[in-house]
Amino acid sequence: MKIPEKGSGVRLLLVVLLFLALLFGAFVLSICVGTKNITFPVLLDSFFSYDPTNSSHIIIQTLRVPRAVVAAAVGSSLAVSGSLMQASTRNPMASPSVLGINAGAGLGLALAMIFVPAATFNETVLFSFLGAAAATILIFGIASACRAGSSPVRLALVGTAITSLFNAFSQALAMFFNISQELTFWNAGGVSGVRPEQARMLLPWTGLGLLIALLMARSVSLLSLGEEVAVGLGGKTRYIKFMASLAVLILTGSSVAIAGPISFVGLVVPHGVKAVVGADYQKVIPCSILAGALLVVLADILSRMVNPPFETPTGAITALVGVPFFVYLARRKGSRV
Amino acid sequence: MRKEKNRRFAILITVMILLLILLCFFSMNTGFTDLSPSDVLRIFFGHGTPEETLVLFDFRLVRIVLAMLVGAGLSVSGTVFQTISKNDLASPDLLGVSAGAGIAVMLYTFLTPETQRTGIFVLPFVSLLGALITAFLIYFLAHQKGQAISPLRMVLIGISVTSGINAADMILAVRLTPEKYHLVNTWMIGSVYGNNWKHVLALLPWVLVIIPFLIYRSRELNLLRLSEGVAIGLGSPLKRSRFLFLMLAVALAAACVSVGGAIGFVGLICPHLSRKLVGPNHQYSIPVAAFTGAILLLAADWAARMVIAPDEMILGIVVSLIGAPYFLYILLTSKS
Repeated sequence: MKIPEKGSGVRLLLVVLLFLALLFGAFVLSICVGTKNITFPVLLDSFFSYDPTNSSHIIIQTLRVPRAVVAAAVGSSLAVSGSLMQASTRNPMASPSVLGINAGAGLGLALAMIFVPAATFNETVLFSFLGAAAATILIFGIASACRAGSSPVRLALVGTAITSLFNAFSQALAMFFNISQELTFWNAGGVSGVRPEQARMLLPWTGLGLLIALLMARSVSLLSLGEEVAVGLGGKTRYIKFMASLAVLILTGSSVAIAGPISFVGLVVPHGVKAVVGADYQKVIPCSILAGALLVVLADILSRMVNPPFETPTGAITALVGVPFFVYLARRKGSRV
Repeated sequence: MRKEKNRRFAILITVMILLLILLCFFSMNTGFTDLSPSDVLRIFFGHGTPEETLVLFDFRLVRIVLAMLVGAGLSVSGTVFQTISKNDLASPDLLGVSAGAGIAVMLYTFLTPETQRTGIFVLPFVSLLGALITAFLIYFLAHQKGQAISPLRMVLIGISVTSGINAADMILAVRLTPEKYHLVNTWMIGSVYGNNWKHVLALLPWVLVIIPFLIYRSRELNLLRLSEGVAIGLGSPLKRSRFLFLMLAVALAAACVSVGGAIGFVGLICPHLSRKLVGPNHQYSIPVAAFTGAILLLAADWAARMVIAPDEMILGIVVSLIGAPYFLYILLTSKS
């Protein structure tokens, strides 16, 4: 069989179908695997003839399904954030975790835990959104104020410095106000213990962010060719950058608020997707949604399987995948420092 | 000229020693049990009650000595790293050496049952092994055929290897019992709290042997700062001495990490400060770096106790709050 070319629609369709099939498989696996193993027929039953007295059905509907859905939503959000950031900064190493935006959201969350302990999920998201915004403004302020933005490696290092600064603030506040334990739990990163109502509150945010990203995909593609080109082709760069950042903040803020810092998803997925479907963001963004969801759902399954019945932090598992890839990028793209 | 410089150096060192003594004194006063300055003096000269003596000698004094040793060790190790890699951003924590030492200690804690723990004296060696492996890994990853190693890339790779090791740490940590976990977690962020004189004895030889040796060989270190051609022209066996100094710096950092945990940024900031104070000549910059490191950690440890008494902040957090902005400053002002 001949493999269709990178840019072609057939190839895109095949890729999307493949991802959908894999994602479906991962979903089923994610619902079935756990402390209590569940068989496929029981799974179907719980959807089509729900029996509130059957413990397996309750586990499926109140624990496993929300967990899988949230994992997928978080994965899509982070992956799309990463694509948007890589396109609009034209920096292959940009991603929410590398540039310190996750850490900013984390600081916002720590503040929410301290000052509004009874906050609803939406209020928490607002705080983590503001924290992410602070980090974004800080890093891009620094990048545009001096030469730091000129090199991918330098920008990534500035991101690391900002990450350690924000983390130190969060930890200091946590110790000062005695919320270390909650924060440590959250810091581990993962979607275990997600409740159905949390899932319901997360999804509108994810939907909104992904919608903006999809609508902006064409303009973002222009931007990724360089500002001059974008302007020449009639793009309003300021507007595009603003909308892209807004989408990043919504997606990162909401997913960090619910799942903690799950690192490297936003870095790895866009690169993987680009290698398969080419650099057109009208294709990269939809594929990132699927691939990001797939990656985090799989990582979440692994986090249950490594050390049962205990949970291993999902963030640690994605980091183990992400770090070798990051080193590869730093070696290859870092050559022009 | 030289005389002038020596005089300045002598004054600087005197000031630093006075500052250290002052800090020690403050540090002995502060803590869960209130001890007034006169109490401290009285107990110090052997007229205290058994409890007071215990608090002063076995709790307070241990942390003070450890903070100073760890600070001096990390700072000098950072100086050497920065010299041999000709990279102002090099330091044991940014290059991943601290994380490597850390995970080795963690693995050791994890694998040995409580009953047959051979004790603190083995830890520096265990952590040295981890640190060496990581150092080689990073050198190997940052090295590209036919190109000089770019300073920024080397640091970025160090940082990413660190985050990989941290992830592995976390996976290990969730398998520990809650008590062990708490211990390991505090230690990972970095602290000198809860240690005893055995820890001091385990660390002391490393610091007291390696730092004077480095000062003794400071002339060779100065040569390494020059360009390779000049150094070879002056008759320095470049490769051999660079390797020796690298090993010593790694060993020093590893010993400090095995006792104090991964306290970041000390090895980055203090060498900078000391170069600003006395210039790049190692004969001066190593002792000054050692004192700056000791002062920084002692002050940070004191602040950690002051801010939320009677609870404690973890030392590593205080240092990060100072260190991260300084790191940003170095990043933004350094030449590419």
